[in-house]
Amino acid sequence: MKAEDLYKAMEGIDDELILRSEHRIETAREEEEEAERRKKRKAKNSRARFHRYFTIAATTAAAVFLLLMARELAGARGLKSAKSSNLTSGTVAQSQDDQYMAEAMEEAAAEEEAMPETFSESAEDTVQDNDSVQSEEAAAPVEAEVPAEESVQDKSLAEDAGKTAVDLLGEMADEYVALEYISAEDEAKGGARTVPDYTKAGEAALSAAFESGRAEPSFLAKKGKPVYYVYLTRKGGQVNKATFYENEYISLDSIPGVVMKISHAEYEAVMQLFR
Amino acid sequence: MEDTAIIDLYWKRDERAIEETDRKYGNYCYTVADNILRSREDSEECVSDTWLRAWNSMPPQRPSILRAFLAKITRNLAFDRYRARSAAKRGNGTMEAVLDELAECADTSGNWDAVEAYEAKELGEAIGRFARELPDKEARLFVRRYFFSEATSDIARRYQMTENNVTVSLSRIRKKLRKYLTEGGFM
Repeated sequence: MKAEDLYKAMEGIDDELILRSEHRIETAREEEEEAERRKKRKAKNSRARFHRYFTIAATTAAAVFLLLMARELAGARGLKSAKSSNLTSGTVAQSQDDQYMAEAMEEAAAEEEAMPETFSESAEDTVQDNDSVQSEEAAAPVEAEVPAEESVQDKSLAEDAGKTAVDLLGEMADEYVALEYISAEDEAKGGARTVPDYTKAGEAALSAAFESGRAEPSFLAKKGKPVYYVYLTRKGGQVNKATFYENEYISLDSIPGVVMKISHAEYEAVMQLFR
Repeated sequence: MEDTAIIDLYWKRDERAIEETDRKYGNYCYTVADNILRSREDSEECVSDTWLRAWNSMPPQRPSILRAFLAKITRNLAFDRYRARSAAKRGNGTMEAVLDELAECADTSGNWDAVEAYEAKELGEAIGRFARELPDKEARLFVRRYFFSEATSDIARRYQMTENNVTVSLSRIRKKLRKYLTEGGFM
């Protein structure tokens, strides 16, 4: 057998294989093109994935921000409402709806008192010289509202002035039946809670503290360690807990996620209740 | 025109069959011939001979793959022409290199001529089986080099390989072929 015979015998190769070897030219190019397409597709997917994750992250961040804002607002309203229900005397509103209702009624009453003054002053102003009154017109309603609010608060404080915590608890007898407090240190040791002997001055200090507090998201606030706990027991046995922190923050478990930052002076005044 | 339509023309003895074949496969067959002959004149004559051989083969034959059928005819004619031409002189082109490489796998005992016709058929079938059993990439290289007699540089370009890679791969394939033919009793 010569090399020529072997070469001639190559005709025994299948037609399909011969054709396939022809097609490999295209296939090789196709593979190259496919690799190129894969690369582009991968890059595109990569960009799409980044965009998707970025969108999700941004949406989540926005949602969390809105949630925190909502909590902060709800916390501020809840605390204000709780104050109006004499929380400092050891009471907490039964629900957010009750708090909002009470607040709305209080604001409506304040507006009713303020409106006549505002309108009467405005009416008088319109009768007076227009040139000299323009600046006063803008200031008049504000000045009228502030005394109106103050008058409502004064009225409320005046009504509460003669009452002790026990009295106030008595008024809320349908909701709260007990108020106790304990230091965080004592609670950690398993100590007993104390039933406070409130004074009117103490109640006023606590009320003022809550009133002046500034709501902050709990996880952002540098509130420090808990110092005192106040337990408010409902008639049904449900207990609400207020926590006082070392860095002059107060929180209520009925308003989760929000703490109230109060001034040092007011914090000291409040803490007098528990020392 | 589709291959089946061209084949039908051959079977109808319509002379347009050759025109259509030349239009579709003229360049292809020329390349196959030129890989062996390396002569424009000889390759063109070889292609013309291919159309005549195809005309005489169809009918009775009806090839399933017309392209491969024509390639085999062209290759066969070109090689015959090459052998006739090189009887007087031996060059140093691609074809010589291909034959030198295949000589590594050939039997030199000299008793081949006695049973040439039978052995040639058997050998062709064995080569076909060997090519089928090769991995796809090696099969491609084997066909391009030893069926189409393509230069290694052309194969390398065709398959995006280095020429050295092609040469090494072909060397391994030849070793396999020699072993295969030895085990098959051809040597």
